Parts: sequence; structure tokens; C-alpha cells
Amino acid sequence: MLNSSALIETTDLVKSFGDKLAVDNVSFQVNGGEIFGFLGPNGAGKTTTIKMIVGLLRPTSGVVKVGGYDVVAQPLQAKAACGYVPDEPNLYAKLTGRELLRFVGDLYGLDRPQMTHRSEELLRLFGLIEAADDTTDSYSHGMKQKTSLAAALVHDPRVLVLDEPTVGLDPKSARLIKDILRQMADRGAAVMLSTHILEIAQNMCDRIGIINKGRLIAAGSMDELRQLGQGESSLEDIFLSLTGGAEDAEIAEVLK
Amino acid sequence: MTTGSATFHEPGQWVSVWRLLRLRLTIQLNGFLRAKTRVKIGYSLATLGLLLFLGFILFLSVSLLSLLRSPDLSRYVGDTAPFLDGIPTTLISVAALGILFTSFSVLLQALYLAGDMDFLMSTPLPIRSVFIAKLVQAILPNFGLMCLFTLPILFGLGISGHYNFLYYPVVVVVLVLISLAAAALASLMVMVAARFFPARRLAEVLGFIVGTLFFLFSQSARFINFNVNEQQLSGVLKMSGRFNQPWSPLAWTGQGVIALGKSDWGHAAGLLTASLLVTGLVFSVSLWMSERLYYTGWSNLQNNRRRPKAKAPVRAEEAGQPEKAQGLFARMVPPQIRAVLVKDLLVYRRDLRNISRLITPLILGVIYAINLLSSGGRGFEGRGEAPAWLMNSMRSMLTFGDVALALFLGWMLVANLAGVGFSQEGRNYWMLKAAPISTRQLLTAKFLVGYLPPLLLCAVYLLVLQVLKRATVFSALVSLLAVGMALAGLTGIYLAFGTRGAKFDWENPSQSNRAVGCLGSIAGTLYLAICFGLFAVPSIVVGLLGLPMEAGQLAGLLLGSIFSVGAILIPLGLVEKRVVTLNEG
Repeated sequence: MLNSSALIETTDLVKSFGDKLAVDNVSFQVNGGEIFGFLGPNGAGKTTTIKMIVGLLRPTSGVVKVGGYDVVAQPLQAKAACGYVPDEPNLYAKLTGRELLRFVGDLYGLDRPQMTHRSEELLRLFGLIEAADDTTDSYSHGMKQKTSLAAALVHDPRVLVLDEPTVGLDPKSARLIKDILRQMADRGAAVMLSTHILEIAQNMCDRIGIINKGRLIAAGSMDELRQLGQGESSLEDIFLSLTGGAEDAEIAEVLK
Repeated sequence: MTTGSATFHEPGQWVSVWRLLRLRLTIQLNGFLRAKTRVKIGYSLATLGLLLFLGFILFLSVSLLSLLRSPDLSRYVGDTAPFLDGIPTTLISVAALGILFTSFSVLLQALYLAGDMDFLMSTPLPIRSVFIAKLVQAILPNFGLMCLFTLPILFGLGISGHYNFLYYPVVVVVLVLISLAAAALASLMVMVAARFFPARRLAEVLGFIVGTLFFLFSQSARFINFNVNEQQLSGVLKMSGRFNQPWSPLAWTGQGVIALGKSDWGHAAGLLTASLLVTGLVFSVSLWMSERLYYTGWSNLQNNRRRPKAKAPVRAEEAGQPEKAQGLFARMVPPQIRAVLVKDLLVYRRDLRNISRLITPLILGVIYAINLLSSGGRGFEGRGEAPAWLMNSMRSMLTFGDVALALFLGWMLVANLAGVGFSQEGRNYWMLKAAPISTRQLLTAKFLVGYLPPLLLCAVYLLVLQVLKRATVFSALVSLLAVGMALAGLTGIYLAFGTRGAKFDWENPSQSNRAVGCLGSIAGTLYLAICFGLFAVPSIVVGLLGLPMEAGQLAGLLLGSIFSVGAILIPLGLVEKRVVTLNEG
């Protein structure tokens, strides 16, 4: 079932830390059924924007809506609609994988049978069933990343926001995550992910937004970005030409 | 641009050890040079104090040992020469055992938890030099501490006995070599232990055991009888002889340095050569085996994987049946609050650092209870010759004396639980922040986490005291309610201050304990004093007026409860808005 209404909507979003403007008037939408890639150089404001969308940071000004709810005015409704996978999978070290998923299920108000069914299903899907009764401090980075994703999916969210979801994953797990994200989008969910792997963004995302120095400098489908990218055809070239990274590429060439 | 590959000269083992130690030295030196002036002055004064302390111990040792050598003393306590000759053996044995056990946890940290082993092993340095450098780094602090006490005594022994000058450098050399051998043996023990248990868990368990034992020993001094008689003193002196076993290489070392001091060259050469050969052998074999076990991965390959658990039978509610089987607790408490409560209690139970923080107050509580009850359990009731009003007042005081003790225990527990309610989330706080849980629900959950365990422990503690005192049911009930209410208010205050000063980016869990701050601690203590006064004073007043004691206790309970409710609601109300913006930089 496709849902074409905007499930993530930011309007004139601004975040400043003292004098430093981290996010500057960012406005975009992510519709249901869509995977939105969020790209940008290091320190461009990707994680800050994502944190405002999922309710971890209060915007200095502007509006963020998730699932139709204002994240500042109706935080609980907005958060209930959303699943979030952070860039660093910090999980409670002394909880087992199974306990962690049940804890998250309780936080999202799932009833016991539903929660048990869902967590067991996700543990099996991510290949974590063997380690489900081990505390997460014994997990590898990839296992933590998968547990983090499973936790974000426990309540079957309508909106999924992922910050660098494929870092530290083996190719099989990375593929699994890509498939899951595509399935979620096909079922009508809005998926927003930030990544540095441009190939993932190019192959997976229906639309891409590029942020640089806190400003959204481009947003659209690959075809729309090509028109902005002065004739460049690959996402890497478009990205470098828009963010001014071409000089860095020249330096790398000299060092070869 | 081309990269020129210069010819690589393999560095020697000891050159590499020096490079690694020099790095550590540079780090320490940088720390000192870049420190604030007051820190530098502090370090300089500490060094000066340490030197003075060393001089003092040396002076004390020379004086005492000269006294022990005096013929006048020998007439009273017998020949002291065997005891004096046994001192090096005793000290060297104690030092070797001390280094062996204290190095274990330091080496566990240095080899498995410091995180630099992979980097060091990947550099073109001999693996052995990495291990030797790690051993030296691991034993240096404890070796320094050990030298602080052993060297002045051993040097004092030499000075008082007019020993040969070679005695002094040889004593230092044997102490260094024996410490290195003990540390190498400790590293082997670390490898074996890490084979069976995860290093981090091992460090936690060790920290817990050592901390608890240390605290127990420090508190057990209250029960030690320091009135030692002549026979016991003689027994203590003879005990040192137990280390002096003919088969012990440590005894050979001790006897060897004594022989050297007395210029008995033949004995000295034989004993010292034998002991140094054994020391060298222990060091080399332990080091070689440790390297092998580490490098081959044997010690990293833990074989303590849990056996697959038998699948638990599917519970009724999990099988999709109506939730009537769920407990009252689950139905009464919203799932969000329940989730945080269960999660926090699970985390507390599994993290031994928390258990350690909870056990310390319990040990103190038990010790004070023993002190209180050692008078017979009925307190100071006298012979009944005092006026009735005074007796009544004293009985009231006694009732609240138990309350005071339970509150003291609860105070330490609440400070450890409620004060760190938010901070202990650390970098995991994003999970709660991104979840649909309201501020009030979160505060309620954290309140319950900080309140319920102390309440339960204090209630049991208080009831045991009341039973031992054979108190009335009414008195026990009043005391229980008083403690329950006072702790609730205290939890509110500590949670509020802990929320205000919450820190989430700590690396070391002990940093999370500072959330309450100085002001919070003062406020908590002040609250508790006022609250206790409100509970206790009406009983005393009623006793003075000759009215029934129960009336005073009830009045006190009412006053204290009103104050406690205020202490819950007002501070938490004030920080409610702060919770919304927690961890937003």
C-alpha cells in the first residue's frame, strides 16, 4: 500500500549551538512509500537534522512534523510513529538482546503477545536468535547495529530514520537491511537515511537531499540532481561538484 | 609522488622496551608540564612529603631495629637475632605475593582493556618487548608503594646491623627482579583467566571483591582487640619465621642478602645465585608462555559460551490468550514506566559496580546495628528509677533511634540510586529520549527505581531491629511508615538534583555519581535532619506532657509525612521542564 502523503516534513528548520549555526533553514519532505537519502560532508549538519526529526534535539526555530505530528508540540505522538537507528549503536550493555527488544516494545506500548511475537521474529530475521540471551556488551559492532535496527522496527513504525545504517555491517547484513528498507517503503512507510556510501544512496533512494554547511543545497530524484550537477552523471561527481569537494579529489590524485 | 621505502633496521629487544617506556614517560611528563600551576605545586609538595615520609620511616626503622638488637631487650624477650635475620625473607615474600596479586588486575587492564595492544603488536617491535614494557608499566605503581615501606626497613636493618655496603644495591636489585618475575607469573594467570571469562567481566568481579574485602577489613577494625599480651607479641614475632622455609627461593634470597650484609661471601654467592636463577627461570618461562598464549589467540578464545537454554514453555499471555494471567503490577503500572523500572533494576543487578555501591551501606548498617544491639537489644531503659515522663521520652527516642539508623542506611542507598537516575543512562539515553514516554512517566519511573529498593532493604532492616528489640506492633508500624515517607522525600530531592546535573557523556561510571553535586548532598542531609526532627520531636513533647506516647508518634508521623510529600512534589515539579531538554548539549 503506497502512502503519498508527507510523513516527514521540515519547514525552515534552524539549529544553532551558541554562535554556531549547525542547521540553516532546512525544508524538505519525505513521503510515504519513499526512501530519502540524506547526504553531506562531515560536519554538514546531517546528524543534527536527524536528531531534530526524531526528537533528540529541540529546534532553535522552524517546524518538524513526523507522521503528521509536530515533534515539539506533540512529541509523544510523533515519536510513537517513528523508529530511529543512530550512527553509534549505544545499547544497554547489561541487557540481553531479547530483553532490550522487550524493553523497547514496552516503551512503545505494545501488548505482551504482540511484543513477544515481533521481537522473536526480528531476532530470527537478523540472525541474532543464538545470541539473544547474551548481554549486548558481548556483541560485535555489527550485531549491535543489527540489534539497534531490530529495536527500531519492533513497533512497526510508519517512519524510519537511520543515521549511517550500514557502517560496520558485513555484506550479507548490509543487503538484508537494504531489502528491509525497500520492503518498508513498499508498504507505505517513509524511510530517511544518511550515508556516506554514495552507491547505496544512488541505488536505493527514490530521492536524495544534499546538505552542506547546514544548508540544504539540493533535493530531488537522481535525474533532478543531474540537471543541477552541471552535466555530471554519477552521484559521486554531482556530490563533489555541489559540495566543493572536487579540490580534495585533486589532492588525492597528487598523492597517488 | 612515489614513496621511498627506506631500509628497515630491526630494533633490539631492550631498545624497543626503552622506546615504549619512554613513550609512557613522555605522556606522564606532558601531563605534568601542561597541568595548572596549582596542580604542579601540589605534585611538588606531594613529592617532598613522600621524601620526608621515607626519611621518617628510615629513622623509625633504624631506631626500632637498633632497640631490637640491644642486649638489654634480649634479656626480656629472648634472642632477637633469628627474627631480625628473618626480616628480609618476610618482606621479600610479602612483596612477591603482593606484586603477584595486585599485578593481576593491572595487567588485565593493560593487556585486554587498555585497547592499545593491537596497535603495539602491529608495529615492527619484538612482541617480547611489548610484553616486558607492559609488565614494567603494570608493576611500577605497586612496586613504588611497596618500596615505600620495605626499603626503609631493609636499609634500616643494614644500618643498625652495620652491614656490608654491597647489601644496599643488591637488596634493590633482588626486589626489582622478584617483582618482575611475580608480574610475569601474574600475566600468565591473566591469560588463563581470560581464556575462561570475558576480561571486562573479570575486571568487574575483581573490583567488586577487592573493594568489598577492603571495606570489610577497614570496618572490622572496630572489633579488633588491640590489648596484645606478651605471649601474643612473642607469637607475632615467631610468625615471621614461617616464611623462612628451606625450600623457598624467596627465603634463599632473604638469607642471601643477610649473608652478603655480614660479608659471608660463600653463603651469599650460593644462595643469591640459586635464587636469581629460579627467579630468572620463572620470569622467562612465564613471559614466553604468556606471549604464546596471547599471540596464538588461545587466551582470547573463550570457551565459556553459554549452553543453549532449554526453551521456556510459552506463557499464556504470549500465546495470545487474554491477559488475565498478568500480575497486578503489570496492570496497574503503565508499560512505559514498567519498562524503565524493569530495565534499570536488571542493569543494576548485573553491574557489579552498582552492587558494590549497595553493599557498602549494608555492611555499615549491619555494623551499626550490632553496635546498637550489643547492649542487649532493649536499649537504655535504666533501672526504672527515673520519672515516668523521662522514661517515656527515652522510649520514644529509642524507637526513633532505630528509624535514624534505617534512615542512615536508606540515605546512602537513595544517594546511589536516585541521584544517578538519569546520569547512569549514559550514552544510551537516546533510547529513552526517542521513545514515546512522557516527562512525568519518566520521572515516575526513575523515582520508583530510586525509591523501591532502598525502601525494601530499609523495611527489612528496620523490622529485624524491631524484632530483636521486641518492639510493639504499633511502634514497628509507625517506624516503618516514618522511614517510608522520609525516604520518599529524600528520593525526590536527590532525583531532582541528579536531573539538574545529569551527565551522559561519561567514560568512567564513577563520573556519573557527581550528578547530585555538593548542593544536592547538603539539601538531602538537611531535609533528612528536619524530617527526623518532625517525626521524633512530638513524641518527646508528648512524653514531657505525660500524654500517651502513641499520640506523639502519630502526630510526628503526620507532620513528617506532610513535609516528605512536599519534598517529593516541589523539587520534581521544578525540574520537570529540565527533563525535556536533557542531553541536548
